[in-house]
Amino acid sequence: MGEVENFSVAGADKVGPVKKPLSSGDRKIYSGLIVTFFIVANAIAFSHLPGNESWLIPIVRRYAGFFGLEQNWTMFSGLRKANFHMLSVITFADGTQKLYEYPRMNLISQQEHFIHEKRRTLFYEYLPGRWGRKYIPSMARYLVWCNEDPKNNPSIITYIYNFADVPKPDPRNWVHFQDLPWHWDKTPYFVYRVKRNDLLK
Amino acid sequence: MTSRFKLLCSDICARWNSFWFKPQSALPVSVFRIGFGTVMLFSLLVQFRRDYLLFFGANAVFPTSSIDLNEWNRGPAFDLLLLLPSEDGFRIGFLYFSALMAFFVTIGLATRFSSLMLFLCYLSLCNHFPIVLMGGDNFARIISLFLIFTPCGKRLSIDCLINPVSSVQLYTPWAQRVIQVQLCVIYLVNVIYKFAGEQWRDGSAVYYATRLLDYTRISIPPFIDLPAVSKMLTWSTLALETSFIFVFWIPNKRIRYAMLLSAFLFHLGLDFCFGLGPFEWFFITSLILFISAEDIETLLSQVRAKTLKTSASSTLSSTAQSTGT
Repeated sequence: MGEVENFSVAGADKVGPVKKPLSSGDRKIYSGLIVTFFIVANAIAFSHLPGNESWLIPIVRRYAGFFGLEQNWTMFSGLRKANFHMLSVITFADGTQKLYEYPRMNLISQQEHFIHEKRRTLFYEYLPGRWGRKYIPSMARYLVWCNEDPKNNPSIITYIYNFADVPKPDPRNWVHFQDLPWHWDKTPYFVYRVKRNDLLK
Repeated sequence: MTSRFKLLCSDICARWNSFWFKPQSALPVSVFRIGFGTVMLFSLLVQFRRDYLLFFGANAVFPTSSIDLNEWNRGPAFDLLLLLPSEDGFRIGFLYFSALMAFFVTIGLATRFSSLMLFLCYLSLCNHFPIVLMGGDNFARIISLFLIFTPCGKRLSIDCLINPVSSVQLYTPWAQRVIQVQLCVIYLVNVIYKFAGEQWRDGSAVYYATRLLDYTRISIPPFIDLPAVSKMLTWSTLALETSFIFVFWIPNKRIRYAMLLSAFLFHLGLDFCFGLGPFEWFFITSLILFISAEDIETLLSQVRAKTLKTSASSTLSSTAQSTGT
């Protein structure tokens, strides 16, 4: 597309093979920016190391967020040793109950798995962790909105965490993927009482 | 001693200047632009679009005020979505505008402007609901920031058709180098984190990773799923990732390309085994930046010649058929 073949000799000479090189001053400015970027970027990247988390993250996030320099390259570094799925029990004013099951990524198709990857991040990585706990009331309120009925509004939302530890890797008793234990441990870990101002209608 | 030190300093300076500023062809970064734009377009229209209102709608699952307090500590965060009226229609329009910018980047139309807009839109999406972001999103945001400063619209683009430039024109590659170095920094940081984790040192990481139901896309056949294989895969992953920090810079093309191929297969394998969205695709696309411009040029001219040959032979055969000879 639009290559040199389209030019006359005079036309090609105008654009030339060499652009004006950067001056020494420009190179110094660019070098400074590059070095600053990598120092800041690495400070952010290492802020997730255990020990740094508590004091460094609030500082770097405050400034990194504005420029979009947030970095977290901890992928697969500390792997979970349990499988789980979450449930919410919605109790209505008349005492009836409804079960809401959060997306089960292993029970949906590959295509749906890809499409709903963001849900997986939220429901499997963020919400159950210590950082996500503060959002659980908001999640409860969202469930209230989805189940509003002026005659019989939700009154209590209970979160239940169903989990099973992945068996330790023991060569004499090797557990294959297909034989993983069912999530039989059930822990109600948060109960939310619905307030009047939680309702949309 | 002083003169030796001076010599060393000037040598380092010369190498530094050569690495960041020695003019290079715009071809690798232009091919990279096409790949990156395509992945971004796909990510925005497929991944963000489906659950968009759940996260970004007027009645999103978590209110903006909570995100502002808990994630940004009421500090500054760039977010164009906050400037729009709080209605779902405008929010969806914003997503489609972002996707349009990604499409413009892919085809290279008003490349500098569209890459700037893509960065600002993507930054807004990321800052508006940061808790659904993965490493891939972080990398994509950094790429889109530095793509603005690259000459990525100078080859294989609509801009090039409108305003032809010489294919032998060379450009300062500092922004392209930042993306390349950033890729290696990711491997470095990730390897450090992995070495800090017990599971990678004792060889059990792959065992646990392949048993996480929410991640795993395929169940590994029992005949491969063996203790020894699991340990070998864990340690070879560490070895490969450690080597990726350095080997992409090796001048020897054969070794470099062999390592690029292994990195490509490594990420493809991870994408096949684990559902991480377009995470691995951003890494695979970034590998293009390490291919030399001459080799891409040769490949392109071969493709062009083949296309011309095919179209010429089909024209000839259709002409022969119509004249009955």
